[in-house]
Amino acid sequence: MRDLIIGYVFIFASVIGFLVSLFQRNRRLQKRVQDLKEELRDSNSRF
Amino acid sequence: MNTKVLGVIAFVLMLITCYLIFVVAPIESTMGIVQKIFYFHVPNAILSYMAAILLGFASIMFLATSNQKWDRYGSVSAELGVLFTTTAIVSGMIWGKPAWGKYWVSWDVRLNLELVLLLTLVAYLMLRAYLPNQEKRATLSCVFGLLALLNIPFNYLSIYLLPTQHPKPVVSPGGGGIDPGMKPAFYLSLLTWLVLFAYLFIKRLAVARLQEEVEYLEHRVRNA
Repeated sequence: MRDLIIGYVFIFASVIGFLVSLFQRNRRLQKRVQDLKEELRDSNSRF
Repeated sequence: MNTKVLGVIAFVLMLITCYLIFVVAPIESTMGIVQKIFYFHVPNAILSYMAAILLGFASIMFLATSNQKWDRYGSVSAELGVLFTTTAIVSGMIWGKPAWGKYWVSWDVRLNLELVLLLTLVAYLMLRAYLPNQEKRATLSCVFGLLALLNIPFNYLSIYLLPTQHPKPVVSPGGGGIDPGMKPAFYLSLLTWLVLFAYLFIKRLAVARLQEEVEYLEHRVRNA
């Protein structure tokens, strides 16, 4: 029974961990895209 | 279909699957309750094959067309491949302990080929992380994509052609079949994991597109 619980917990933890990392990466990259677009707009308006 | 809807469907299916596994499906008489790991082990192993086949197909298509979208599909498949190969190996080890008396049977062909598949997928991702140039990265990583694809027929046929501790798959030719009471839980589990795979694939693909956009914008900012 203990082995079975460890197995299921490991599988769920792996999938949830992967999903959380996806959401974090998505949020971080969206923020980076916004920052870069602003930076690009600023540099364009300077010239 | 909206990705969120797919995620909700996967979640609801997972709840029903767990109910069928732990409440409805009978306990196997020889191995006891630990046999219930089978309901997740087999679908995860199938998805590890599917990820490797998708990666190999994407690698071939990239080499043939040089279209970046195939490189993107390949990298997403490899990441999902690492996830599902790891869960398949670990759940197999947990099942192996009560069935064989040990977690890992040294030099067992099936077990080692699955481990080689995991290492190939990890090598693919490590190579990509190391190479900054997009074109070079896409072309060179295809080698590992093709190696992962090459692993699959040997991996699948190893239990038929070579002496191995691993049992023949119960739901494919030559297998013993499963108890009718176990079938609903098993087939629903297979469907659930397929839906979850599709959901994770679409989510990871969106992240890959954002990564490419960041690389493009960084290039433009540097040249502005």
